[in-house]
Amino acid sequence: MSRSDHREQFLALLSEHEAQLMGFLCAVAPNYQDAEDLLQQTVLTMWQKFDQYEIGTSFVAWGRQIARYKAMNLLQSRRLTPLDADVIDLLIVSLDEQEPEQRVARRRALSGCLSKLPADDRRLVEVAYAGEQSIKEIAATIDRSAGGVYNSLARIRAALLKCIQSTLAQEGFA
Amino acid sequence: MTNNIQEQQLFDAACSGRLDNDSHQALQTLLRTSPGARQRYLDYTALHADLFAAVRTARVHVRLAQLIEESSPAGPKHLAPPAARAGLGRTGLGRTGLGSTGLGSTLGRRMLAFAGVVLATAAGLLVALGPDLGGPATEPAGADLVADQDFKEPSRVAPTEALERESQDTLLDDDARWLELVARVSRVEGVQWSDDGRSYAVEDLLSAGDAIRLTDGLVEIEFRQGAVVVLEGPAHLVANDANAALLLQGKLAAVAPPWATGFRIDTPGVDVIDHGTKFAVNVSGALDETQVNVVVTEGEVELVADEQAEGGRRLRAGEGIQSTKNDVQDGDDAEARQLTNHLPSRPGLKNAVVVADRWQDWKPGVANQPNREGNWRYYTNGSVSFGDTKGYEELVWNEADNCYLPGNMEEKPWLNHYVRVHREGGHPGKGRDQVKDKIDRYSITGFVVPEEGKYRIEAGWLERRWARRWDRDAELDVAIHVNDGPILMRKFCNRDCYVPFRQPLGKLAAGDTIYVGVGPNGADHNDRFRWGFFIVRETTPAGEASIESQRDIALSD
Repeated sequence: MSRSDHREQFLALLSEHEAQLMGFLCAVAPNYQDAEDLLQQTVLTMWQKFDQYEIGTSFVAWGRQIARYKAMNLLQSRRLTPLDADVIDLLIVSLDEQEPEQRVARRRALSGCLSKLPADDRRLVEVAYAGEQSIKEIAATIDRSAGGVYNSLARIRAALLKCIQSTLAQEGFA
Repeated sequence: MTNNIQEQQLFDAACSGRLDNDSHQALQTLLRTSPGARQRYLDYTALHADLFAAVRTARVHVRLAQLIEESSPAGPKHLAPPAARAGLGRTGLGRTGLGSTGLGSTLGRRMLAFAGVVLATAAGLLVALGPDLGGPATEPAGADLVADQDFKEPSRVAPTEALERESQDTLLDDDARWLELVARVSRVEGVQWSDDGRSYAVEDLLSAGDAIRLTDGLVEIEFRQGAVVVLEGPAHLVANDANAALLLQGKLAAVAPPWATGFRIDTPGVDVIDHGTKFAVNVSGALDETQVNVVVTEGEVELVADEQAEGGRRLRAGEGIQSTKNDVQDGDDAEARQLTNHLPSRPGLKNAVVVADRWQDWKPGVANQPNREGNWRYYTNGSVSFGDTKGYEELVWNEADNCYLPGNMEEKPWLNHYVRVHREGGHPGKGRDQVKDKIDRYSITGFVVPEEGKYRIEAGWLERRWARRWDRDAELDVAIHVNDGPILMRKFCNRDCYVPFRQPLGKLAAGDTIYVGVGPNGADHNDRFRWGFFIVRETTPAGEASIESQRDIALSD
């Protein structure tokens, strides 16, 4: 296989499974910025070691093992308490039990559910998830308390999850 | 979907980074015992990740669309943290900044292309957030979105109270915008900066994720926790955090004092963890044929492969390895070893033991009581100036706010009202420009010396929240004194928002108290701070000579 094909193969696998890796990192790293950083570090190492990856085996499982150690090291170096190793192992087993198609379907469903949000809620999601302002600053901008903004985001997430579940049920996913 | 409120609250707290110790344990217990909860947790965190991806991708898409349509570089304006003398690594692609570091390797360029793939796959999510950008959203039949009302929505704050509330909320808001500055450039010698990166001057600060790329010359970087690295070009280094870096290419030498044990250099191959040492690392070769050499000149390091969490091979002084993707052999690297001669030879970097660590030693207290566990004590200066310990008032533990604060709020409702000491830092009280008695109220941390010796404060750092424009000239000050002695050090943290500090304290006796205070320097606007420092006791008798390193000779010219 040529070098170019090698890269294309890696990128194709990565684009297919990046969201799963990111989902795992978001589950173990308490901060989204940390999860993004860890994703990039993990991907870099996966590329370095791509020759060791056996085509046909689970690309995600292989990536998760690398991601797991990078996450533990990062959190410990920042004196944050990560999830215990046995809890992470259980999460990995649960992730492996998920159907990849369901993951894609959830993201697709999210698109429709976001469009159903009231305009104010949709704007709050956009501002909060842009990552450019703290919750405190957002609250000051809209003349609310930080606690109120947290509550609203929790409510919105719960509503989106309920909507996604309903959508999946109609599409035949469990 | 989450099927009970407590579970959702735990998941929500995890996603918001607001788990306390009890909640963290509760979450783990839940995940251990309930397979259903694990799946729901994964769905919840996946939703959280998907929302970030959707919003950020949408913003990049909007920007690109504008650029294409208008053929103009103008983009959306927003308040950004101060860029002067502080490296910022945040990009739309994450803090380690594939965009900002511009890896420059084939993989780096391919990763940017990969970002385009991510944009494409997230196209469906763009529609929902940017209705003017795409086609109509899908409308699954019968999928109604429940529009519940907020629970426990507090009453709105009147505009006149907004400023006062801002100060209070500042104390409690864990989402404060911190710059997360992790290192400082301390020397630049004959450097040619890479065209793919930015240039640095002495005293420039690096945030987590900032990269240093040079094609020639020497750069010395002091990490916040105390490790010092000399990087020789051509080289590419990313400062990961206060005690870790990623060396992608080139040679570096590092010395880590006792308070920086655990200093870590990651490479594309093995990772090197310091255990009290001086060492050098050389990363060379093409991206998929990288060779990593490690040599140790003093002390000991641990080599950890990417799949290892711990328990790696130890290398001691005089030992070295040469590692490739598939092989590790004993060997030396003379050029890398030579680079250690450019490290500072300050005896104080090794001839000391750590007695206290402000960050690690933190413990919650007993409700409404001052701290009596260990050697740490917490004060404010009441109605006396900082330095007059006779007027110091001890702060008491408050369980609700998870911090130490004044215990006499009823008697003095506002002078010390905002004084706090909490795990990460604290907040001073009112400033002299705000009160009739013209006294700055300090947040004071005291440490009772356990045994006689010569003491120092090392690796001190104080970071202020990113200052808003309207108070950009307001400053904090951090000051040190021992017992009732004079102020030994006072430094100011201005709108650059970061100040390192270290201070010899002289010979102290058991029972002496070291006081480190942070004051408002006139007014307490936006004065929440984070900080850390180590208290060390020297182990080398005074007067012991040290051999000058090449670095010391160069600086004396």
